Amino acid sequence: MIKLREVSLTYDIGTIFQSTALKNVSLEIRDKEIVSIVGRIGSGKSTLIQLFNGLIPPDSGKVIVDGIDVNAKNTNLKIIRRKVGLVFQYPEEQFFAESVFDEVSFGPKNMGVSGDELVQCVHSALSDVGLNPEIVSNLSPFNLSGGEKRRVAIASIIAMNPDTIVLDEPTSGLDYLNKKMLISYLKRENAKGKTLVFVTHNMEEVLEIADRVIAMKNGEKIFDGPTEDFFFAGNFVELAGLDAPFLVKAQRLMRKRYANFPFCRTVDEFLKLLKEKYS
Amino acid sequence: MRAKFALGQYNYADSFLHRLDPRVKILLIFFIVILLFFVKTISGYLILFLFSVFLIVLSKSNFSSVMRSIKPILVLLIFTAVFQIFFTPGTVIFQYKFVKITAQGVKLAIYISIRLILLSFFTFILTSTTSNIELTDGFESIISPLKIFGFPAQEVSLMISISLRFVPVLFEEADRIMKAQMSRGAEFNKGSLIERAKSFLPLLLPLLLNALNRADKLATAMEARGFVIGQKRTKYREMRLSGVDFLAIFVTILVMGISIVVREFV
Repeated sequence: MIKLREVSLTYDIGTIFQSTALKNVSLEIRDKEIVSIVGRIGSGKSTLIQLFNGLIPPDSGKVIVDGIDVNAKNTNLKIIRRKVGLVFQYPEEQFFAESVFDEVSFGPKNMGVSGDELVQCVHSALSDVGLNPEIVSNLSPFNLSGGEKRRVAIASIIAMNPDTIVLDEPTSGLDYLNKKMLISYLKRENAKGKTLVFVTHNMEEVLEIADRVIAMKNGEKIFDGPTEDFFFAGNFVELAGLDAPFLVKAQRLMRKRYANFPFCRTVDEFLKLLKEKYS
Repeated sequence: MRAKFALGQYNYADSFLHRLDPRVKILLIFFIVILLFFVKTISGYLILFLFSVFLIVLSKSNFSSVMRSIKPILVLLIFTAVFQIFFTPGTVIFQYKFVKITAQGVKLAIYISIRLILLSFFTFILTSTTSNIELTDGFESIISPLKIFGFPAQEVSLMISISLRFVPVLFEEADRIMKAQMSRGAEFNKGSLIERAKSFLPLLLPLLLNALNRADKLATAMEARGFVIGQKRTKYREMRLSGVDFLAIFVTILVMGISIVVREFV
């Protein structure tokens, strides 16, 4: 459970670059939820998620993880970072180790895991993202394909066994198949009981997996509610400066015609519905 | 890292000094800095000091950033001043056991402090009114006569401008990688010296790799836009001397002349 209470943050105070990243933002990430954070570039999304594990302290307001005030003086940030695993954008750019095993074990090792438990951690994290630990463990992470690199990077966070996995645009720069695969792995982590928070520009992904959407604009939270409401209860997508995907537009039209047209998350679902009930 | 972009001292303003030709500014400041070591009188320094204050006011900088620019040299300044006070031979004015302070020592310490402070004032005036691009353009133009002797003037200035350009990018990236590794439980300021050095590997290695990758991409991008080293190029910003430049040269030479011939008033 992550709670933000009236958090504000401004960068470069007193210079001509001064910019307000967050204005009085309060929110809650509940356990086992899938929350998507959306908004245009510069709306404060990336700043927001860096507050979750104490990488940046807010100017005012509080960040509370499982009842612990993250920015209190005596807080052990390692514990927070073990609870909240943060995957940065293009995480494969942080590789440094000689083998995939060393790369993935960096996190758990820092958290004090060792011996058989460490091997266990690394192997299960790698299989969680669809890689065979026997095969990839000894490869150099730099020699993998783009999709595999991304998955190793995400495994390196999963290996710490965090309760919450926070991802900044996890699918950016991946091809269609890798995107789909990654989304299904993330869904599976959630099914295992992990809370999932992801920042994205891809509205189809939001529509497909998010339970709840938090929309940001110019550092302010402009929407916080169920995914269905975000797309259909008004024009929040457009308010956030984003474009509704085709599937949403199609459903909006259907809803105009049939008031109780059900909420579909994928094209397949939508097509099946059209064929069976509305043809 | 709250002050992400507050690198360098360039002050984004429009003043008389901002509009001067960078070559004129670089050369004038260069000669003033040399002159600082030839002025022999306090009154000469006073004139230069007033001149620097006048220029700072003219450049629309605020004095707090001037003071900030002195901070880095403060240690050096105190060190040299103390060194001069205690180790210059001459007429002893104070003695305690083996510690001797001489009149010449005190005088030298004062002179050196004044020189260093004025030096940082004048370089501040240059860097706060001249952007990095102008600086390298000006520098290139100044050293270009050296081409006759086979000195790669264009390459050197290109190198300087590229490295200056990428300093903030590297800082931002270092910040990002550091945060990413901290998210994986890395700690950069704990443990013994060796542990600390080791803990920087996960930061330095990706930083270096990404920098090399970026250099590669930059080279490709430059080639794609037809950049050939050594080829004659036209400039986006043509530097031309104008009336104000000559005015600046005249005033500066006048001040420099007065400061060197002025008599001590005490």
